[in-house]
Amino acid sequence: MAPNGQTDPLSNLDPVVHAPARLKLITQLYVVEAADATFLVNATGLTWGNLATHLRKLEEHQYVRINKEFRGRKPHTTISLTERGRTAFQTYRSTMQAALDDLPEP
Amino acid sequence: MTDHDLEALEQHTFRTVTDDGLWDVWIAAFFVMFAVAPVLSETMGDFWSAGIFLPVWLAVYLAVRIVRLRVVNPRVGTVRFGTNRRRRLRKLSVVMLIVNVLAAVLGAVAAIGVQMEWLDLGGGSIGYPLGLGIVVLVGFTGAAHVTGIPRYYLYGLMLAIAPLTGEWLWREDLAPHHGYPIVFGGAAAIILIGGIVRFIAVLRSHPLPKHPATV
Repeated sequence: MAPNGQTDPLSNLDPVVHAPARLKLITQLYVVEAADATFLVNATGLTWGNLATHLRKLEEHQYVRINKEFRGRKPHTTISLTERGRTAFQTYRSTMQAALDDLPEP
Repeated sequence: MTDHDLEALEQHTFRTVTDDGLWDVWIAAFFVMFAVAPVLSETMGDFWSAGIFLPVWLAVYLAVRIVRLRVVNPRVGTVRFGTNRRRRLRKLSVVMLIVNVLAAVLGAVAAIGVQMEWLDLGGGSIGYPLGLGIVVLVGFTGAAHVTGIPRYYLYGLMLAIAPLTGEWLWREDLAPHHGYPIVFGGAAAIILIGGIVRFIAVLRSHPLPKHPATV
């Protein structure tokens, strides 16, 4: 609860989306249909290990779909946001926007 | 994070993945044809001096595709864009097809007209260089608008002015072959150098990942 007795909108933020690294990943995936792991490493500045960890977390919550295949002899991983992931991001945006709008003027 | 921010991110993503300088090399290869063909036409004739460049241009196109697949994609990564972007690119393809067909028809009409002696390009008409300039300007303006890459406007302007400048140089007896070797050669060189510099910058800023298989 907020000090004035109202529900704090920030308490409704989805912690899976809210983590900075995952927020970067989800935002990047939101604006495209799919991207490969190499692009995501470049775009987010995450290490390969961190990327794998965060993608696993997002996959556990069914926010992303990970497709692994071989191109020639090399592994190639493509990641896309699921409908659930898109909805979670939209909800996160609107919740955050509402919280920011509610801030009093300085 | 507004809708505008997301659009900007999508545009940034598009440029990151596609704007690697290789298309500039391909564009330059096309306009080299305009520079060299008039010189070759003295020995090979009009038809073959232009026709010989079609396989060269296709070879450059294939080389660009292979380099992108083997060199750029493993470094930069690949993205499948959303339906809006794909629709805009399809529209651009249609516009480019129309512009190219129009240019080919104009070229064929001009060539036939000169052969049949009902068209005199050596006289006072600036219709041909003006028509070529307009077609090029429309094509590049469309490409710049759809891709959001502003330097294509500059290319369009530069290449639209080229045939008119060439015509002026030729009339002033400052250059042979309607000035095409100078103006199109110069424009193609600028585009080619810019493309190569951009390509090297992309390779330098995107080293080959060492452990891509961990994801």
